[in-house]
Amino acid sequence: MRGSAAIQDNATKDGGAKDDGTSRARTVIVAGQSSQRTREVLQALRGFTNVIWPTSLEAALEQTGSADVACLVIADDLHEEPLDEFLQEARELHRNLPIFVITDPDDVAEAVSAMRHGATAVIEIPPSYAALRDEVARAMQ
Amino acid sequence: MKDLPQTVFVVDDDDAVRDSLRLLLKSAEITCQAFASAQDFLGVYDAAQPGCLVLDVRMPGMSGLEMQQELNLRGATLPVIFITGHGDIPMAVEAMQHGAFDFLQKPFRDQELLDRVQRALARDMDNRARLRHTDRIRERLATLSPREREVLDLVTQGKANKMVAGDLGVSQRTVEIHRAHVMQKMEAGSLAELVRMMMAVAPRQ
Amino acid sequence: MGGVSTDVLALLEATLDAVVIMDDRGRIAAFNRSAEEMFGYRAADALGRNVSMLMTSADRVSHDDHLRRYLASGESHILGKGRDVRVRHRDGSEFSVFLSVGHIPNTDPPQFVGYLHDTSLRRKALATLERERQLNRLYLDLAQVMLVATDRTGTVQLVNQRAIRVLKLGNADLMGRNWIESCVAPDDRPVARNAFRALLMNASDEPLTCDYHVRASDGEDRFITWRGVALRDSDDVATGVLLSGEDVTDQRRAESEAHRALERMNSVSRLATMGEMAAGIGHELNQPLAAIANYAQACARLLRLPSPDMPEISGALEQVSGQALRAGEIIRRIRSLVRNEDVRRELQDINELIREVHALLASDARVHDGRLELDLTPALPRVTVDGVQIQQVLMNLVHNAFEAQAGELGRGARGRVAQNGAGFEVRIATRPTEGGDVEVSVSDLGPGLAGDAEQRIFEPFFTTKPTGTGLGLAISRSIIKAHDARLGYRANQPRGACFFFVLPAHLETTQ
Repeated sequence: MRGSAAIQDNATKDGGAKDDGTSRARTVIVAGQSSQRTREVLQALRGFTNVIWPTSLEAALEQTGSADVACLVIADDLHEEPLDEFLQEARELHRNLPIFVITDPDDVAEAVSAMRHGATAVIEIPPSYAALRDEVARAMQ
Repeated sequence: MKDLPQTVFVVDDDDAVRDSLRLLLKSAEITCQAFASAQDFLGVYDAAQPGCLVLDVRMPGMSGLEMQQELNLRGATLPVIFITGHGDIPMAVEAMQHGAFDFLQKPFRDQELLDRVQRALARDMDNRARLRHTDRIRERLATLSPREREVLDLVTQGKANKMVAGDLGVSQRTVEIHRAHVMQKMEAGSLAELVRMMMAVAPRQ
Repeated sequence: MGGVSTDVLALLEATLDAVVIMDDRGRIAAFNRSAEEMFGYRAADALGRNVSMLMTSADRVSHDDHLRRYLASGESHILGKGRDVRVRHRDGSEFSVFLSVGHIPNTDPPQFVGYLHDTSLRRKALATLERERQLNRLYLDLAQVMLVATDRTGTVQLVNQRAIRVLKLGNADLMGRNWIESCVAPDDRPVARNAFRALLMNASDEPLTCDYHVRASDGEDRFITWRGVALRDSDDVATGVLLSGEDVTDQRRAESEAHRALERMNSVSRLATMGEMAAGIGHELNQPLAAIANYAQACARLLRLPSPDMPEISGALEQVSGQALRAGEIIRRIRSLVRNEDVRRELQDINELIREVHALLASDARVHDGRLELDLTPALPRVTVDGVQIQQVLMNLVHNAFEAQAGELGRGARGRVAQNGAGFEVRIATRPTEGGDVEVSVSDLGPGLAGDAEQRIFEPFFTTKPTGTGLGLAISRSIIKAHDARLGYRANQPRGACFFFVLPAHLETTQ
């Protein structure tokens, strides 16, 4: 079972914008209970620097508020509250943040519900690991 | 003016699906109009008509998604519920990203559809009410004189009368008179209300 | 010495047998040329010498005894009879001759004449013949083919080892039996009889061929390919037949195994194509199911209303059964396409075949946000085809065409909004060729095939799709080939691919 996380880039911590033209390291926040699917999502995102998987929901919301979050990936249900509610909260806090919700394949009803509650896009895992990476890469720019 | 009765517009090229939907809505005592193609619907569509759309995604000729695009272009706010005999997540996500209200796979339980239809109709009511509200605000704004308008803008930015007088180069007394007229014309009971009105008609960021 | 007249001597010279005349004392009085050749003595050297020099030691003694006894008693053990004796050549080698002796009448003192026939020559010839016969027998038996010779009536005169082994009978059981009645499997006898008759009448030098089963003594039937010639005498009259047969039972079994395997591959490929079209199939079935669900649920609600609208309700229930039948029809169509039936070639109207699968192909089109156009020339001649297999080829080609166009836009069968006017179109066309046959083509407006792909597109396992098996076109081609036609590719105008095949028209004969 993976621990809670990862590498933090000091440059983002102190919030400084780099003007030297190099791209800032942006952060991907992964929220979701510890499960097979969450592990698969984290696995799929290997190669992106700064993937954070906060251990609690509050930490997740807090992180989402920090500077330079590229996107939020909700990998699975959460212990503390229903996914749609969390999604709605996150959306209300951050109007423009890309939020990607992961579902089981062909679960159209869940996907539609997520979209209605504020998801930017819904990705089925498996099989669309590549689609997830594409969306995150786009969000990083 | 009170609302026209809400109508659910059903657009599906499959005769049996279309007719059965008509009957289902009728059995729930919901007014319904059915069309066999997107063209047929667009030919008679009137933006003043309240209601919602139940729309098949895949149709020969103009598809459901294409029709949704067309409605967006026309500035229509009719909530769209997509139904489909073959749908998958990417299709659903795309439809929702283009502004669909809901998305449902055939075959569905009657309660599922009716719930969503009710929600869509409620949403349409809200939309229209808000539209009327902002329309009325705009109408009132249009009755303000240029100077009154200036006063309104500055006041709703949070400036005190004295500051406003200073900005406009008039006396504080003049400002107070303008302000009173503004409140009256805008039918606002308080500054807070006035601010809310301005926010309602402000372009979204 | 008692002379021999010159006439007699002349007679002696003419014969091929060796002739020796001896007197009553056993002295050689005449020795003809053949005797010279037989014994290696010149006549001059032999005359006057005792005949015993021509005999082996064993005979020498008995010869003298015989002579004395005859002279004394007039009895002979040897006159008038012929017998094999061994004699001696001048070089000492011994050999056999057939000797007959006579008393020359009117000779005084008595003279005897001996005729010596070199049996060793005969024996040699016989031995050679025997050896040759055995060699021929060996050849017959070494042959991997069955050899059977019969007379005109079909009675077996000769069989070789292979025939014996295949028929599991002994030589004795076969010789003298009627070939057809004893060895040919009952069902095939009429064929065999016809062939036999034809063989006897055959005027050409070429062997006639015929295939039929023989039945071994244990009841096992073997399938043999026979080649036969008539055996003729010097007057060219057929005296019998010689059959050479190759046991092709195993070959045939292997062929039909291979054929069955190909059939299985065909049906697997058909299933795979159907699987790829599952989205379309699901869509097709969901429509009537949705209608049924809606109608039935609507009826339930209508019935709960204060005054139920009866006409609507009964109308709805009729629709429910109608839609259920519609769904059943779709399922039936799909089942017939995936059923693993034996190949059945029948006269078909190609346009009808296309219309039968139109709904299924159209649903695949919808799933790809495309359009399927039919451009069918009416009143085409009928063709003899296996309808299901041709439909399989069409499904494969149409599905490929939609996938190619979707692939070009970088997407699969998704519901993305198509650019205006850029709808995918696949066209199925039928038209008559100049030769009166029927051309079927499937064309699209996709990317077409680039260079290398055009050469390799029919290769098994070659595919331009990321998840393709690469078998669909290879199997389609083999199906078309089995119909005596060719599946070809040409570039479509203004762009895209066109796959086509030409089916031979059935010649309608007026009966």
